[in-house]
Amino acid sequence: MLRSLSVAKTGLEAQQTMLDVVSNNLANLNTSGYKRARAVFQDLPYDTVRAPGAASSQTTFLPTGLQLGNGSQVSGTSRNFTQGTSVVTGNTFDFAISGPGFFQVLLPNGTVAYTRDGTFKLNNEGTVVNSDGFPIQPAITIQGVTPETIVYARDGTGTALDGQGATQQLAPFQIASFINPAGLRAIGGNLFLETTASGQPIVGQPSINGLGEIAHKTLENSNVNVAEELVNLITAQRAFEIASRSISSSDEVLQRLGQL
Amino acid sequence: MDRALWVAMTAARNTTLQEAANANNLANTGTTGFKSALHAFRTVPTEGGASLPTRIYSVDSTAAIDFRQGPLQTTGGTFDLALGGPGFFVVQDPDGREAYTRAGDFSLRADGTLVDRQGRIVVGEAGPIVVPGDRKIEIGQDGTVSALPQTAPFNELAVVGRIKLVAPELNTLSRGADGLFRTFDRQPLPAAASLDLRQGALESSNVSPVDGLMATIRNARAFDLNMQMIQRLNTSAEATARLLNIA
Repeated sequence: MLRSLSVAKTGLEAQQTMLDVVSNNLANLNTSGYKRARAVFQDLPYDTVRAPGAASSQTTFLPTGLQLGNGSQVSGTSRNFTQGTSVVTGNTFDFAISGPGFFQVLLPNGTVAYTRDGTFKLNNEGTVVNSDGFPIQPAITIQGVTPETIVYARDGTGTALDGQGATQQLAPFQIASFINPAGLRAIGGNLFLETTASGQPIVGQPSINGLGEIAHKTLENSNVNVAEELVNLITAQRAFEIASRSISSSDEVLQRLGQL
Repeated sequence: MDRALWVAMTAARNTTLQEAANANNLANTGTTGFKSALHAFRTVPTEGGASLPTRIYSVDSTAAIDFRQGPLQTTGGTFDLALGGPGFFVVQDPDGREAYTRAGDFSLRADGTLVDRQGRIVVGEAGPIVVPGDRKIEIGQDGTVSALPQTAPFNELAVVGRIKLVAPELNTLSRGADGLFRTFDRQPLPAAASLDLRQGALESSNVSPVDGLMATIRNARAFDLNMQMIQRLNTSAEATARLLNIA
């Protein structure tokens, strides 16, 4: 009906999405290995009502045209993979990656998911699993050793003492990195799946070929910055108010038209 | 009276168009690298024929693009780039030619090519910029992209390319339907030296909410004035009709 009404509506929708993204970040403030997301906006295509340079008579040309925008939209959410702060927990099965890389987790459907959350446990078979009970890949099985004596080094190799006090080698960690981690698809549960945008996983031993190092008995906190999110929250709220002001003004125009 | 009615009607209609442009600016307060559109009324005098030059229509037109610097917002992203002064990033148009943008929220394609948010290739001074996946990327103030090893030895620095930055005359740029800027002649521009590129920051939209809200009020009042004008003209038309009836 009135162009400004629908344009302002796109602004409301975009800011609403921004609020959704910010509140999801704030809700995951204490989620281990969570990576904060940011809503990315872009302007919608422009309509050229009159092109500049069009003829205004046989000998004259319009110096300026008329170009009207259609508002804004959320073009996507961009995930920020900067390192979260490390917290030493002292738990034997807590791991963090310092630097780039993801732990690999085997989902029940046979696909491999990737996570920065190293809150692992042992299942009844002695296999190292994540909080949801999905085994990590390649599988690490801990048998015949005292769990308290497990020590994993920065390069992902591990040792433990058996009942006789002899040192046993444990299966090493292998981690995966991506050329474009921002292209990974989040599926919840702190897990990501590979996509065509992320590229193929580059699997290797930690601490070499650009992969990060394993930090044992440590967890990586979420990288959400409360101050930044609160500022984003305020910005989104005010931008929402401005867009709604634009709508009420358009409404006044329509109301005035109805009084004619 | 009918002609005066047309003048008032045209003004009212173009006021709603101008408000649409203003609403577009306000809707893009959160769009990275967005530049406000400046709209102005253009006068269209009616002359010629038997009529006297009494009427001047006002028509909305996109007068210019406000290229003022938007505030820089630190994000910390490796491929979040912003220009701290004049200049533009160059992306490849679907037709293979250059288009310009201030939005530096770039990312990598699966093959390591630097692309913008819509997947268009970011133009480097020597073709597209392809970065190796296992390196830490540093982008210098002049756009030089270098890849550093993530782990020791740290001294193997490799220059991958240089992001092309241009500084065209602002009055040669127009905005396309996709929001990118292009020059009128579409010829590739020479790379500009000494521009201020910052890594880990994005340029926010330069829309001023104050100006936008003032314009909203101004447009609403201008519309109202024209509506009153239409009603007055209607009243005088009625009076004319009454007089003619008596006669």
